[in-house]
Amino acid sequence: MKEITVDELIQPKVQFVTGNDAIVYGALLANCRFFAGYPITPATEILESMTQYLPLLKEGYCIQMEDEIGSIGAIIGASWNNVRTMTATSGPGFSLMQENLGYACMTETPCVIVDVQRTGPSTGQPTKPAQGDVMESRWGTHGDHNIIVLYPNSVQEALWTTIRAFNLADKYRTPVVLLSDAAIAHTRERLEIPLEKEVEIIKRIPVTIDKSKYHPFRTGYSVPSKVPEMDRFGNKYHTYLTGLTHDWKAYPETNSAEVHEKLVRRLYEKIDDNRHDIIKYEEKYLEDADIVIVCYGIASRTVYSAVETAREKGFKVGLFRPITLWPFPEDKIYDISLDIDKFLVIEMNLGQIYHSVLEYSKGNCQVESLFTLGGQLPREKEILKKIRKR
Amino acid sequence: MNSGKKEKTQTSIRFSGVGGMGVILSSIILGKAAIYDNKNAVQTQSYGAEQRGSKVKSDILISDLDDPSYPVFDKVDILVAFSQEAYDYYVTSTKKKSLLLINSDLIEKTSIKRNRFNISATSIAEELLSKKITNVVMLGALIKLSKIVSRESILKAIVESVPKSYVDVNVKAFERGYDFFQDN
Repeated sequence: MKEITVDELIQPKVQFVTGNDAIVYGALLANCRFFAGYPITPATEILESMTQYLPLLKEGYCIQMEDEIGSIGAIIGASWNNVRTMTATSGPGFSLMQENLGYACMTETPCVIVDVQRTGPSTGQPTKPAQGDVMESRWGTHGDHNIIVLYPNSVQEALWTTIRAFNLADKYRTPVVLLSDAAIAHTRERLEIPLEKEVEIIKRIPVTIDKSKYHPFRTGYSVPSKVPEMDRFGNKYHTYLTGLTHDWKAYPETNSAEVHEKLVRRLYEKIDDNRHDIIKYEEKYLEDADIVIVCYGIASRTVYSAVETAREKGFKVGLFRPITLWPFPEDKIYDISLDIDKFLVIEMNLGQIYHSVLEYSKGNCQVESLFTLGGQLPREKEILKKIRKR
Repeated sequence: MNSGKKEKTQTSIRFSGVGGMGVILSSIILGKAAIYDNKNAVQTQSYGAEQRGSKVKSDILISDLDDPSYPVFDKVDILVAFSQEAYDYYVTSTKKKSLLLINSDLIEKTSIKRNRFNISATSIAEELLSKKITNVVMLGALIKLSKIVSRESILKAIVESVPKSYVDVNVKAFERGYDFFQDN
């Protein structure tokens, strides 16, 4: 088969396509060349498109696995060949992936897991959007761990956020969860597609140390960082990986509290120390706001017009939309809480980010909520009702 | 920008029918045409779990703004109904000034007269090929009545969106729908 470039593959450069398409394009532009997945509504089109596109690209591979456990296993393994890897699923599949997600955290394996949310629990409503996996994306896998979770709110933002997910995964050697939902997945919008050369690629830090001094989890020897440099399997260095607690030589150490604490603290800190680089958000009208609406992902799309209407009616309403959900922009929430009367948290679940806002506003202001379920997007009328209620 | 301005520069359209009629495809074609016209469009869809036979609707917002709203409508500017079930269910989402375009072959009972345009789209489609291209006949009529996108762009979008061997008959279907109503 004749190989083609991503620029040739994705034509034309302005399209009317879905959020799932945008994630696929973003992944290909970010140089993702290995995808493993198992079909599930509303994420299936990502697997379908990857099956279609990846084999056309140089060293591109796509596998439909036997299930979601196999899918995440495959992308973790493939990542160790210095390849950018991704899988995509929805709630039920994401639950199955949790064990291996922890393995990726523990072995510090860069990979991107897309969770296109539908209502739950269990198989729920396959075609309806929801935001019920926000806490699962943070805490779904067992044990103390840290993770990066991003959540775009439009087709265009989905493309750029996917690219960013790959960069953060490689930069911090961590799995990155890219949240989407059934609405973004199947909404078509105008998408402007960049050329490959316009996309910044942040590569993994390669191992340069002398072979005799190499240890898989040694950090900070060529750049000061808590992120270990990364070799690939089959290269000149000997790399051993385990999900067991390990020391910097990668040897299992299942009895030492000291080794465990050192490892887990580093896993936390390599992300937390770089919050300024990882956290991204949108803010609007915060300067004079008395009420600030916190919303994210698809739920934010109907909030924009509600904010405009409220301001026309004289209410000083602002908007804060985290694009990085985890690590949570806690400092920003605290800062805003000092100047306002009320946060209004709007999400399509029964209160997940609501609790984080409550926690980090530290009682400085009221925190109210508007929750919607069953695939319903928040309605302008209901939002305005909440704003009017002082 | 304010929402007052938004109302003037955004048009909401709801396509409705039954699964298998090409309801969603017609909204995608319209959205593509809007993009070719250098406008913005946001399109959503909702349907049951069945592949055919369940109620289907597709909402689309066509806008001159860079940041269009998201199509969650209580009332729409234009309702395109392909079947009686769809008409009965969604006629409540129209307002006084809404334009109503209905497929009169499948919709016999109607409650609203104002701004209602009937087209025997299924008969026209069957005459040309089969009822499968009813949606393109409806699109032709919609473009003539609303002028929401240019003729050139919608034809380009149709050509790109249908199977190659059916391009000619789809273009014909569009023209028949387009010519069905006189210029006003």
